[in-house]
Order: sequence, then structure tokens, then C-alpha cells
Amino acid sequence: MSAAPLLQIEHLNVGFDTAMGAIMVVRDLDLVLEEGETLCIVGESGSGKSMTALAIMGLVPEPLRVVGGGSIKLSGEELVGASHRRLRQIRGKRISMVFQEPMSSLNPVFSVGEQIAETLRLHEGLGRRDARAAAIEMLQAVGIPAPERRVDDYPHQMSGGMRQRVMIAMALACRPAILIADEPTTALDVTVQAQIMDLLKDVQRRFGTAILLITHDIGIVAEAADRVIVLYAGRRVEEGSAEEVLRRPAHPYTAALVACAPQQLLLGGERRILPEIPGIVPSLLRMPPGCAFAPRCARATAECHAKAPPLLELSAGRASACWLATELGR
Amino acid sequence: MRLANAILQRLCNAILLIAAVIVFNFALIHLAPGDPAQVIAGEMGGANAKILAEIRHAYGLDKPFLEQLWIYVSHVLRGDLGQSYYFNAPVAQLVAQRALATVLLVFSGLIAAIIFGTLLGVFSARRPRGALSHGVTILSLVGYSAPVFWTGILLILLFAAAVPIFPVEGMMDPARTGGGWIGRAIDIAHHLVLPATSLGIVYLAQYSRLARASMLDVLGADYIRAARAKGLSENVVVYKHALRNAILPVVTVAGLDLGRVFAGAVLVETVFDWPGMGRLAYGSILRRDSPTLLGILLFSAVIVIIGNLLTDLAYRLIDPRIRTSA
Repeated sequence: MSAAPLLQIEHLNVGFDTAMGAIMVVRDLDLVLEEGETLCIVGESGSGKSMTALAIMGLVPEPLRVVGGGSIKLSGEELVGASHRRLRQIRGKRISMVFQEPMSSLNPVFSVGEQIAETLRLHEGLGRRDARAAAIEMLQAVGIPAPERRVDDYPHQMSGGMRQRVMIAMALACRPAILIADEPTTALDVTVQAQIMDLLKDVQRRFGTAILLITHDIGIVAEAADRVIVLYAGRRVEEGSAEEVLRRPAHPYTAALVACAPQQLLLGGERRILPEIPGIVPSLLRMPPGCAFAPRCARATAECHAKAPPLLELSAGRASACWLATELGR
Repeated sequence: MRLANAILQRLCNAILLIAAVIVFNFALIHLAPGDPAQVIAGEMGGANAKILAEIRHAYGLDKPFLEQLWIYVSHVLRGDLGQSYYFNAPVAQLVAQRALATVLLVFSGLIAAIIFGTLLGVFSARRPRGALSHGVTILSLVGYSAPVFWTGILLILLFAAAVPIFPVEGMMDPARTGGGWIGRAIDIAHHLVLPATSLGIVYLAQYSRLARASMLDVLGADYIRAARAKGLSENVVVYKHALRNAILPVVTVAGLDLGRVFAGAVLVETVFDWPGMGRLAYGSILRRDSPTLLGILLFSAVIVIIGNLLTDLAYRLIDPRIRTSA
């Protein structure tokens, strides 16, 4: 081993205690993010993907918290249990986050310029004038036309796509090593989605930022990801390079997600009914004893219902938590 | 430029509104039962029909309604609010003497309530399940239900009888000599504490509740999470990003209260013998002293209109969304 990875998560557990026992939102998650790469975390609502992002930021909302002996290391520095002060120095400076809702993630009473400049003044110690100039530069960098005029605009004067550009400008203002993007295009029109994805790829190339992209959209994974982690009910079910995982899913859940993507229809060229995955994600209070996906899985056996499969390494960087993994992954 | 336009537009509205208030007030008082001439005659020790007619003639009460209205309006336009039947002094002078006392009482009570209420609300919203939060809930329930005069009497019992540290009545100590204007200001402030507190408690309850709810709402907003994700300290998140948004409902209600609070002042002024307009108004109603009453109503209307104007401006200052839409 040479230098520590940029971001390394080991045995991350997020949950809270209730009268009915501990409820775990994220279970035993391992993850490595290297400099300059794009890692996608894919999963349905409730799979724990957003909570993973918030755990990295140290912003897990009450009553949830990081439990167990999990570890989140940024270039070797432990973030779990780090002081609030230290975490605040890292947030917005080393690790930034872009949220799903650009319409409500900007403060309505401050101009977008002020909101970008605020980060720069906080972390870079810039004066008012320098911060403003840097904010204009950032607006330019994220492709906002006439930035020296738009810098004084308030969020309500901008469209959703523009606001998401502002969010990205704000997140990248201090040139963070890691950008966490939590469903950054979900709330946007399709054409704007493509623009925002292009922008993310563009700034990654220019600034060398590593991107942790959280999405439920398998199309975005295909488009943007180097590697992908598939989460189901708080657990990793599959991991590998994006290309391999999409081409030869080694978990029935991933296979089903890929089959559900409308892009498949376009590629196939034939008209057929878009498949769906029957059922819903199990309640965190009533997790099945075996594989969490077994109740919805077409290929589930008695073994699947009885015993949860471990995450099996299939090849270097490629893993699946399915009893049928070796059979599927070929 | 936009701001100047907005102010100008509102001032024009205000002038029309005041004109309407003058006419409606006069009509309402005229419709009200009771005969000023009877009261004046009563003060003189009784009279017969002839003397009553003379009084009516002397005060112009025998003229037709529209003529009386015209006389009143034209006088007001010239800055003459008329002569009090009871005090036999110019109404403008009577109101001016008492206006300052009432405005002082009302504003210090209301502003203290807004500031402390908002702070209490913010503190309790930061720990919605904490002891302070429950305390604020109880305080607001009690404070809001307790009538102003009752809180006043309790305060007198507590701070003037049991622990006599504040004066009970009046606005100044008549026996005090020397000390200059600073000494006088301190003396007035000392007299002001109990009346302003009893007036303010009701509003404190209301504002702490309002600010707490509004703050809780805002603290759950996406932009607050985003602000935390920028690495801002909790105090900056709460007092800069959240409070600026959460204060809007407080400003709205403060504007409305500015009108209501004068009504509460009557009771407080009575309990604490405060030489203000509320008691003058009450007395004038009983005495059918309509010129004085009209003067007070006009003054109140002007205060309410100024209050609304200020609320409007404060809103534009705080919320950019209003700046562009107007």
C-alpha cells in the first residue's frame, strides 16, 4: 500500500435505537473513492444512499447516527468522531455536496453571489471584494451567462437548472477533493439533466475532483460512472466497474434495475412493456431473515430465504452478495 | 428607484385612507346614542329645554349632519381638531400631551416582546424537546390567556408590595427634584417597567410561540442543510441563514399588533394610572366628548398606517422576493 486512498469507508453503520430494537439504515458499508474518479451509488428510495452521503459530511440527521466501529477516512484522517470544528473545516473545503432540490437548497433571502462568496470567505479567508470576484469566476466556470450581472440575482430569479449550476459553483468554489452529488438531476427537466451531467463531467476534468454520485437512475450510471456500488435496503449487493456491472450484472437486483431502464427499450428498438420489479423495499423494522431481496427475486431459492448471502469477491474490485453470483456474473 | 415608487404609492394610499377614516369616524360617533348637550348640562348642574337648545346652538349640534361633517372636515384639514366639550381645551393639545406617554408605553412593551419573544422562540427551536422549549410552551399558554389587567395587578403585588422595587402608579415621581433630563429619563424608565411588562407579556407569549414554530419550520429546510454542508458554524446557520427567513411571520404579526396594542393600553393605563391616551379615550366615551374621541381615533389611525408602512418597508428589506414582485 502506498498513500491512503482519498476516501475510505469501512464497516459504516447508520441507524437509531427504537423500542422495537435498532433500526439500521446503512449496514456494514465499505467504499473506496480514488482521486479524480466517479463512483456511483445506486439504489431505490430507502436504500441508504443519501444517508451514506450525509454520514461522510458528518450531517446525519437526528435521531440517526453512525453506530458500531465504522470508519470514514479522508486521506487517512478519521472523520467518525472528529470534532465539530474539524468537520466544519472539511465541509465545503475538502468535501462538498450538491443536493437534489436546487429549488429549495439555496437560501431565498441572499443573492447567489453572497452564497458562493460566503464559502470562500469562510474557508479561504478572502475579503468581500475578492470573494465576489471569485464568485463571478465560479459562475462563469459553471456556464452561467453574464455572470457579473447574475451574481447579484436572488435564487427566485433563476430557473431550476441555473440554480443547480449555482449549487455546483458553490460546492466547487474551494476546489474540494470530493464532490458528493445526491441525485443532482432528479428534480430537473430531461434536457437540463443532460446539461448538468455534462457540467459535472467537465468540472471534474478541469478541477480533478472525485465525484461520489448518488442516483436511482441506471442511465446516469451508464453515462457517468467509473465504478458503481448497488445498495439494497442499506446493504451493498453489488460492486464493480460500471461497464461490467451494467453489462453482466452479478446480482438479480442489479439485473432487474438494468432491465427497468427505459434506455434498454431504445437500444433494443422493439416496442415492449417496460418491466418493473414487483413489490417494495422491505420495512427496516421487518427485515427478512435471509437475503433482503429474496421476497422480490424471481430466482430466489429456499437458501436465499433462510440465509443472507455474504458479499463475495468475484474478481478484483468486483463483488456480489448473491448465492447465485458466480453463476450470474459469467 | 423602485423603493421610492413603492413608498410614494403607499403614501398616496395612506392619505386616502386617513380621509376615509375621518369621515367614517365622524359618521359613527354621530350615529352613536347619547347627547353631548345633556352631559354638558349635567356638568353645569342641570338645565331646562331652553338652556339645552342654547348649548346645542353654541356647539353647532343643531345643524344638519352634513353641515356638521363639512365643518369638522374643513377644520381638520386646517389642522384644527376642535375643542373638547369637557376640558374646554383644544383637542390637539390634549392628545399631544398624552400621545407621548402612550406611544412610549406601547412601543417599549411591544418592541421588548418582539425581541425577547423571538429570541426565546429561536432558543427553544434549537432544542425542540428541551426544557426551555417546554417552558416557552407553558409560558405562552399562560401569558396569552391571562388578561392584561390581571397580570398588571399581580406584578404590582409582586414588585411594588412584596418586593417594593418599582413604583406602582404614574409616569414620574412628582417629589423628585434636580438630576437634569438624564435623571428624568431614568425616573420615567423606572415607572415604565411594570406597565410595559404587563402589556408586553401577552405579546411575548405570542411572539415566542410564533418564532418557535417559524424557526422549527425553517431549520428543516433544504437550504439550512446546504448551509451546514458549506461548513458554516451552527450560530451562523441559525442566526444568519435561518433567522432571516424565520423572522418574516414575526414582522407580519408585529405590523398587525401595532394597531391592536393601543386597545390593550387602555387597561394597563388604568391599572397603573399611566397618563396616556387610552384613559383619555375611555373617559371621553363616557362623557360623550366627541371632538376628543375623534382626535384620538384619528391619531390611532395615523399610527396604524405608519406601522403598516414600516412593516411593508421591513418586509422589502428582509425578503428580496417582495422587492421584485412589487
